[in-house]
Amino acid sequence: MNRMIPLPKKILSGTSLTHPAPNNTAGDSVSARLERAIERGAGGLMTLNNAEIQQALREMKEKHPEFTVLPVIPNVPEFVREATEYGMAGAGIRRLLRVGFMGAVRLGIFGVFKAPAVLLQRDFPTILSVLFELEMNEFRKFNPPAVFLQNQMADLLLALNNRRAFAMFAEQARDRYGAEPGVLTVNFVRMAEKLKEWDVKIRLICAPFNRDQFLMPDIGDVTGDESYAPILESGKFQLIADRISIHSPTPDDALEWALNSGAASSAIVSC
Amino acid sequence: MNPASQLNICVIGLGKMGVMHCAMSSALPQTQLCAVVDRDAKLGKQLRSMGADAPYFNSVEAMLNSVKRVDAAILATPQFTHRALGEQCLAAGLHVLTEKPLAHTLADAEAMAAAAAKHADRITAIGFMKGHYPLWIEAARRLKDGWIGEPESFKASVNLSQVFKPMKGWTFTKDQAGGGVLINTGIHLVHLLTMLFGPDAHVISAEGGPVHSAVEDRITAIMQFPNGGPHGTYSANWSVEGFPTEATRVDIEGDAGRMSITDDWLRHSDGTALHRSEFDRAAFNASPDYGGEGWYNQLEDFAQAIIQDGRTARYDWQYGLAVQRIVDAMYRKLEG
Ligand SMILES: NC(=O)c1ccc[n+]([C@@H]2O[C@H](COP(=O)([O-])OP(=O)(O)OC[C@H]3O[C@@H](n4cnc5c(N)ncnc54)[C@H](O)[C@@H]3O)[C@@H](O)[C@H]2O)c1
Repeated sequence: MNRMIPLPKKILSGTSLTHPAPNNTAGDSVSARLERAIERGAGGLMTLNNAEIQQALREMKEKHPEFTVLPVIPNVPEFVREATEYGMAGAGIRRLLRVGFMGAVRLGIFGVFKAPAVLLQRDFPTILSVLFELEMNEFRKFNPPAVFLQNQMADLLLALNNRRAFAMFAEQARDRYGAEPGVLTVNFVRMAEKLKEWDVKIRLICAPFNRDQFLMPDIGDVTGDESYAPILESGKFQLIADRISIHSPTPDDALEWALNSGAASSAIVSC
Repeated sequence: MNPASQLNICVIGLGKMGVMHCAMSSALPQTQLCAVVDRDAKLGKQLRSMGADAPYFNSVEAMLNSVKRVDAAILATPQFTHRALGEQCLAAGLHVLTEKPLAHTLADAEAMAAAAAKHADRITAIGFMKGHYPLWIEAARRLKDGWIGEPESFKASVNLSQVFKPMKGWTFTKDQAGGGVLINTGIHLVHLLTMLFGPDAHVISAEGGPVHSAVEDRITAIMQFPNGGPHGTYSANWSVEGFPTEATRVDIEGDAGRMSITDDWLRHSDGTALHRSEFDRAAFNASPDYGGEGWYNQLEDFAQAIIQDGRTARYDWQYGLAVQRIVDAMYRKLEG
């Protein structure tokens, strides 16, 4: 069954809110930029967990109750920065310590009594699931309809052939948050083929889709966009077009092109 | 590719970079991961739980004693260990790709280059992954072909928002890393300058120092490339707001025009603007905002050099030493 998951057509990128294009810095606060993007038709925001963005979302929640928030998890750039000092498990434990024991109990982190020990045992899918809980806590008030695995994490796990991590992520998104699981990737074809081979039920893939074929490499004699076609025709996946233009802010014609292509149900824009 | 004809790669050091190299070795058709090594056994376990399907060893000796066929090693340990481990791998007959910098001191880097020269039948490579970005290669080619005439001056900078408090870990110690932002991050930009202008440079002056950590958090240097090459300024700073990912930029003034290069764009003062999308074609990209294309191309280059007789890696240990000499000269000016 080709079920479409309803998401806004025009989705704003969170990174572009905190780091807008240098030629487009009008509206000096994140809130002002977000408000402006909504006026220009953005129906949702796809974002990593970021304090400034959380604050802006809280401020506009009543005014725009229909606005869709799509979390990207985990916050890999922040995690990598911490891991430079403390190692990966250490960085996970620090996150846990920050919410505190009672905080973790309140969050319902499964096996909270065991969480630090589990982190120390270095089971990566478990580290990932603890990060998921910690970060989703910040997003739960926005009732996200879908949650996305961050692209570096997803592509690393893809290269390492880690079916279990994707399966655990999908299960956690559905069972704990009633959210549709999705992945961000810059390796659309390989990702879709693997998810299918592994029989992991993740329909939403947010991947580069643009006229310049940027990050859409040829596969043998098949051009990037041609290689997307059979996967999308299979009806097993729903493409959210990312990096739709090499220019920032995203030009209107790039958005039209992506949405009129028939390949993507939504597109990510930057401001 | 049939597994028997793939190169067997072992990755030594399973921290942040080691994980990335394991992923790349698994993704590249010419290579397969045959073993992983780290002193810390928990990291072996962690890597397995990340999906890596290769036996773990706690030392290079143990790995060499147990694994029947290892063709090459990727060294992703801290730089103060590169010399001992690199020499050990070469002596055991392996080809070696070492993460940058070649070593934490010039003396170690010189010893490594000498060891590589002694084992001339082995391929050595150094992890200057930015030098594998097709856009930077294109920029160097155009510059050489006279795109802006003779280069006269340049301004080069790399900025990153990373260090805003005293930091823990070997990366932030002179003893083990060899310095701060210059040797850990800014060395990529030094390398890019050598790609553009040649492997020797005279460092006229340097200024900078610690801001938050125990090593230099920022450095500015004035450099002159010999034989009529350009002069210019170099700056590296990892304690500056507004750069969630590393931002590199080189502006060059020539006698017939100007060009500017970033990781995304190559521009000419005549209005030509080339985006990396025209050149990036890697079959797998681990993270385009953190050097994704570079990691893949770097390993592919290393593998091709091993497979094809008579070829060296694009950036070998001799090249790594040339870059280290410039970095060392910057440190000496900074200290002097
Ligand atoms: N190319 C780049 O952009 C880039 C980025 C970051 C780091 N690096 C370089 O990569 C290297 C590793 O950096 P990292 O950040 O991954 O470090 P890390 O501290 O995260 O990991 C290093 C690992 O090496 C292991 N190790 C240390 N000595 C060992 C030995 N003798 N035998 C076996 N294992 C040993 C440690 O246990 C640790 O797990 C360094 O040379 C660094 O400068 C390159």
